[in-house]
Parts: sequence; structure tokens; C-alpha cells
Amino acid sequence: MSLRKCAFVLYAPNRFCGVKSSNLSKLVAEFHSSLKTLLHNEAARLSLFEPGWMLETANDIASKEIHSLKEFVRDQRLEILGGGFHDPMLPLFPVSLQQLQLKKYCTLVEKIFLTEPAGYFNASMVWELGDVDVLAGEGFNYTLVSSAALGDALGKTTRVNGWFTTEYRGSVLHLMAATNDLSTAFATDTESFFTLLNSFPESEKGWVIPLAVPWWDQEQMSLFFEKLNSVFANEEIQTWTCSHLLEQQISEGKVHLMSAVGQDLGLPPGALSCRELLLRRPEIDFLHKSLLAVYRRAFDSLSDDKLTIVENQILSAMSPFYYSDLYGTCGMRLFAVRRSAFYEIIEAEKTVFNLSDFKSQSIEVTDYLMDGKRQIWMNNQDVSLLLANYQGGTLRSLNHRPTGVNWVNALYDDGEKPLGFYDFVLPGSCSEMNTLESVLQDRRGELNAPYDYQIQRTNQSIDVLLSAEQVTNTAEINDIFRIEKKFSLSSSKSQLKVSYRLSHLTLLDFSGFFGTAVDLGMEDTENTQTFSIDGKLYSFKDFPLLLPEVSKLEVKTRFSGAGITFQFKTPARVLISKILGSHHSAEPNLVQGVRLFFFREMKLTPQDEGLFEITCTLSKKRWLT
Amino acid sequence: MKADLIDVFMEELGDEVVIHLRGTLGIHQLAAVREKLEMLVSGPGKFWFLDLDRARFTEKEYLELFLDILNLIRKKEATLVLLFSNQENKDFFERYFHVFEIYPSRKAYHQSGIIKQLKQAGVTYRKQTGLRLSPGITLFFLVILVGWFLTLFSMIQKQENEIKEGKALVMELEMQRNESIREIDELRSTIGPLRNLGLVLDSSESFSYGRIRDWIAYLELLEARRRGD
Repeated sequence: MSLRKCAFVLYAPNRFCGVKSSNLSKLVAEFHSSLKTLLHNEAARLSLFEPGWMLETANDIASKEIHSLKEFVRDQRLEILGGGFHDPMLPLFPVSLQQLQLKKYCTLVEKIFLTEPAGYFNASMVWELGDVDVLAGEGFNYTLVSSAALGDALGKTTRVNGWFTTEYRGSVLHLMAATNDLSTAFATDTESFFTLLNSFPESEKGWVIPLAVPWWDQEQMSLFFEKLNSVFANEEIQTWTCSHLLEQQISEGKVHLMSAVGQDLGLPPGALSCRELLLRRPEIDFLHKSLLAVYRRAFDSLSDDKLTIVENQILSAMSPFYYSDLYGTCGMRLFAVRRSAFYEIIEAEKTVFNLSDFKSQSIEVTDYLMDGKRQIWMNNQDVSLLLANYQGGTLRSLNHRPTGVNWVNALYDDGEKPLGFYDFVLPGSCSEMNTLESVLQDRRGELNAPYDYQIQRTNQSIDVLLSAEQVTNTAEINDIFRIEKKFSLSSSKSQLKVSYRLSHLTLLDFSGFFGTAVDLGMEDTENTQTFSIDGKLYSFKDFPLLLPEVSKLEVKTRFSGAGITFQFKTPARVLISKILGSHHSAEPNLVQGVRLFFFREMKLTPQDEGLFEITCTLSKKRWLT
Repeated sequence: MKADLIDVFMEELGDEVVIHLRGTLGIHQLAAVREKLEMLVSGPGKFWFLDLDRARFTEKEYLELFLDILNLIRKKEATLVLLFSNQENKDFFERYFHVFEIYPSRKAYHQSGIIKQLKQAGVTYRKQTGLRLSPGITLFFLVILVGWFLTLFSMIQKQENEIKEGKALVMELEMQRNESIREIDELRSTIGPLRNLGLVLDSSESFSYGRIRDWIAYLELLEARRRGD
């Protein structure tokens, strides 16, 4: 029986790190130390990829290990693969940002290991044809793609092995098949691994096996390296680096139009592209569009040197966990990940404004969300908000720059968008808490017709006046209201005033409720935030809560020191309910935010007018109990 | 909806307001552009920069629109500056090149001359009730005024010193004159008996001392004679 040729690719998956930095450094050092020990086994040859931050940390704290690894690189027993600085980099971003990530990583590898990476690695194995010229342009010779995706492109049902050539816009790249089922078998145990390997037809061609190192858990990591050591000790296999396999084998042919959805992104099995993430999760889509908007603004308003500063800052907002529909520290379903994602965007936004001499306020009417409709992006020194006049004049974001918080950052499991100031006209029968909650959850009676807008500027504020006729169905009767909804963003303060003027246009009397809801993103961890309503303190365990007369509602968060206050010109009724999502079980018990519903009773005769005004103040305060 | 036909970007930079228009603007967008521009220029601002570098106009009606906007802005005693550098827009605005202020960028406008900058400072700080000056200009004028006052005081001081010196000289000469008169009187009294005896001819009679008015000149003359000048 001939020896099986294997090319092991060890990679450290990028994760959202909640652990303390000292612990993180310890884990990184441990990883490199284990790697060094593993390579002391003369039979071991492998390829390695680790995210940029990990390589930087290792260079700082584990210089001895790095020095040893450098020796192995020189002896061609270790190959360092290139990739995105914040791997896995999805092909959702502008080419210039992708190139910058690749350049940044390659420069780091060249600085540390004195070698230029020839192979590109992407932990999620996502692939689109457009990647060819980006990667070839950065000097990469080959990339790893999943053998299953390669098989689909070639129309083969049998296992695909070896490497293929693909070309796009005059650039050529080699695609090397990575056998993911061997990786899965290795994760089970070594026996399964060898059983599967031996079941493959005997061939001179080698197998590329990507293995994720569980670096975040010391125990699992040592088990992993023990297992790998035992595999290397087996005499049935011969290990090589990926580059060596590529050199030793001849091309299997050409492949066109190959695409791979990508793994570990939270996409369902039937998904056709990683872009489905943007359709499935509005939070990811909004983050993506916010990143593009900030980049576009920087591109339009800054000179090249200043643009580079913003580009470098924006790279971290391309981190994979911000674009994964996953729970835990892996994706956007965790509030901490969402908060961190928008913090990155707001910081980049702040840099753009600082560098572009932005002094007071701006307003931009543009297709921010890239959905074919224009939205209104308002900014003053401290606050920015996106107003979707086409979707019932609602807020898609309310960013406070001094704290780096986007308040409209809740998450609905069913894919509904979290919004700010979405309005309802409800019949008088909806006065009970349960009824109201169910109506709001189903968004019945929501006033979501498009509004026309007017921009009004004064010395004190910049105002957007929305006006439209909205039809509602209350108590089996169609009511028509002419609604004027005005957003006034103060020029000098972090204050937004939202005022409504309702004119009743139906020839019958109206008796019911008019109100508006705001979805605030929050997490229910102990003592992270307080709710103060007219001076009285409340916590999550008190919700849902319906209060008949409220003048002032204040929410403060401990993490960022951010606070938001709602004040009403005339006291309003308030319903506070938790926005729950499910995690491990089907039971929705994970708090993703709170929905505040401010409403008041209105009795309007034909042509009568009703008014409602809310002042929303954002602040950065010390934690007060 | 008219509002949703165009991309608008408006940014305030102190007294300056920058409005960016983008895209190909034809007859369908004309009403929307007019509505938005008129709406925006009705707000505060002294310098209005209309960035048209990324806008392309397909209809001549836009020229009238920009003339109307210029009139609106001039009524507010403000300035409208069009910003573009592409040839297409230069050709489009060719007829009214002398009417509009056209610059490639805001920076180019600011660097276009000291008179413009002074005008800018003037317009920026002028109000209906009078003249308001920018801090820089105020400081400049303050330094000039203080300089003027210092020069004036030094001149007055110098003249006072000169007057004092003149007065002292006059007093000294007065004293010399009195002394001389006293000495002459003494001499007269000394030679009085001899003259009465006819031994001395009184030469002073040939010269009337009483008629001498300019004693200072006379004494100076005597002194000069004494020195043999």
C-alpha cells in the first residue's frame, strides 16, 4: 500500500473575543508553543493560517516560538498562507478594502516570517468568481476551495481532488480542492480519520485537509495537538505543504463559474450565495450598508492620505462575526457583537467627520440602504440618524458618537427590522397590556405608507417635515389621517424632537389611540442598565409594564455610559416590553432589546387635529443608581 | 413623489453651506431640484456653494433655475458660488459665465484673492445694525490704533521737552540781561562824577540804550564783538 499524501492546513478561526486580554495572550502563546513542539516531529509538514491580530500578538509575546517557526519556514516544513487580516473576508466589500486587508496581512507575514505567501486561505471557504482578479492582483498563486463546491461546478458527483485553473478578467488563479469530510472525521477521532482516508482510491495526488485549531480553550487545544501528533506519527501518511502538492502535481483542467456559499456563516443548506445573509438578517444588511455609506463619504470628501486612515480603521468592521447569522460569540444574534459592530462603524464615521472639517450639521438624501429608495441621513456633531421616509418615516439608526452606541439595535428572530418611531393608530379596545403587546408584535395598525419630505433649516436645528395621508383600519372602519411628522435634530445638542400633527379626514368621529414605538437594543445581564420612569427605578424583571401617565423615561447603560431620555410635552401612556429571541431552545428567552411604546388617547371629530410631541435626548453619563 | 427623484447632500460649515447635486438631471427632475434648492436656501447661510461637479444637465431650463437661485441668495445679501471643473458643465454655463461665480472647488474660491477674503470677512460679520469685525481683523485694527496713539504720545512728549528747554534758555537770558543792566548802572554811577567834571566823555549818550528792544540780540552782538568774531 502506497503512502497517502496529505497537506494539513492548520488555521485559527477568528472569534469575537469576550475573554480578557491577558488570558487571550496566554492562549495565543500556548498555540504557538504547541505548534513549535508539533513541528519538532520531523515527519510533520504543514501549512498555517492565523488571523492578523493573532499573528501580531504572537509576534509581541511569543518571539521565541515565532523565531522557531521562522526556521521551519526556511526549511520548507511550514508554509504560511495569506488571507484577509480579519479572516474570513467575505466578498461583500469594495475591492479597495479587500485589497487593503490582503496587503496588510501579507506585509505582516513578510515582516515576521520573511516570506511572501503564495496561497490564499479563507476559513469559511467562501468563493466568488470576482475574487480571481483581486487575489491574483495581490500576487497569490492559488487558493483553497471546498472540493464539494468544485465538484458542483464541474458537474461531478465523485470526489474531486487536485487543483484546477480558473480565469476572470484576464487574471488566472489555481483552485485547490480541500477535503472537508476528512476535517470532520479528524474532529471525531483519529480512527475515523484513517478509516475515511483509507477508503479513498489510491492515488499519487495528495489530499488537502483544513483543520480548525480550538485555540480559545486550552484543554481542547492540547487535545487537538495530541491527536495531530498521533496522526503525524502514523506511517501510512506522508505530509506536505500545499505549495509542494501544487508543484508536484499537474493541473486537473479548467473550471469556470465556480461559487461557494461559505461555511460557519449561519446560512441554511439551500443558500446559493453568502449575499443571502444580507437578505435574511436586516441587522447584518444595515451594518453592511452603514460601512459602505461611511466609506463612500470618506471616498467623496477626503484626500488620499486621509482616506487611507479611514480605510485602515474600517477594516475591523469587516470582521466575520459581524456578518454571521449565528448565536454566541460567533455572530450578530448576540447583542454584544451587534453593539461592537456599530461601535466600529460609529468610530469610523467620527474619523471621517473629524478629517473632513465637519463643523455643524449635514443632511444627505441618498439610497443609503441600496434598495432603490432614498433615505435621509441626518448628522450633527454628536448624533447621526437614518430616516426611512418611504417606510412610514421610521428611524433605522440613532447613533450617538460620544458613546459609540446605535440605540436602534434590537433583533427580531423572525427577521423583522428593528425601527425607531414607527407609528400606530389603534382602536380604543386595545387598552389592555396583552392586547397591545400582541398588536405591536404583529405590527397591526402600523402607519407605514411612504411620506413626502421637506427639509427646513433654522439656526437652532435642522428639521425634516414628513407629510402623508395614512389609512388605518380601526373597528372595521377605514380612518384616514393626514399626518405631519417632524424630526428636529438640534444643531448644538444631542437632542431629537419628534412631533406629530394628525388631521382626521374621515367624516366619522375617531376614538382610539395614537402612538409610536422604539426598539432599543439591549441585553439582560445583571445591573447593566436601569430604567427610570418619572424618578422611579425599574429593571427587566418588571417588564412588560404598562404605565398610564409618564412625563419622563430615562434609560442608562453601564457598559458604555450611554443614556437616552424621552420626555413628553403632555404625559403619555407607556408600554415597555422585552424583545425576546431564542437561543439554545425553541423557547424565546434571550433578551435582544426592549420595545418602548408611547401612546395617548385621541378623540377626534372630522377635520379635528391631534398633537403629540416627544423629545429624545442622548447623553453620556456616569453610572447612577 | 417629487422628493424621491434626486440625491441631495447639504453640509453646513459655519456660515458656509455646501449643497452637492449628483447624477444626470433632466426635465423630470427639474421640479424636484427646484423644490429642494429653494427649500434649502431659505435657511441660514452667508456663502452658498453649489457643487455640480458630479451633476450633468440635459435641459437648458436648469440655467433659469440657477439664475432664480442666484436671485434668491442675493436678496439675502449672501453669495452663491458654483463649483465644478468639468468641460461639460463649463459649456453648459458658458452663456452665464459672467453672471455666476464659478470655481473648481471651495478651496480654490478661498484662495482666489485677498479682496475676496476681505469681502468674505465683511459679509460674514456684517449685520443690519452696523459693522461687525472678525477677531483677526479686530486685532489688526487694534494694533494699528495702539500704534497711532503711541506715536502721538511720543510726539507730544518730544515737543513738551523742547518747550521746556526753550523756556529755560529765555529765563537764563533774562537773568543775564538784568545783570548787564545792573552792571551798566553801576558803571554809570562810578563814572558819573568824572563825567560831571568833564574828564570823561559819555559815549553812552551817543547810543540810546533805552531804544534797544532786542536785548538778547544786542548782548549776543556784544559777546560776539568781545570774542572778536
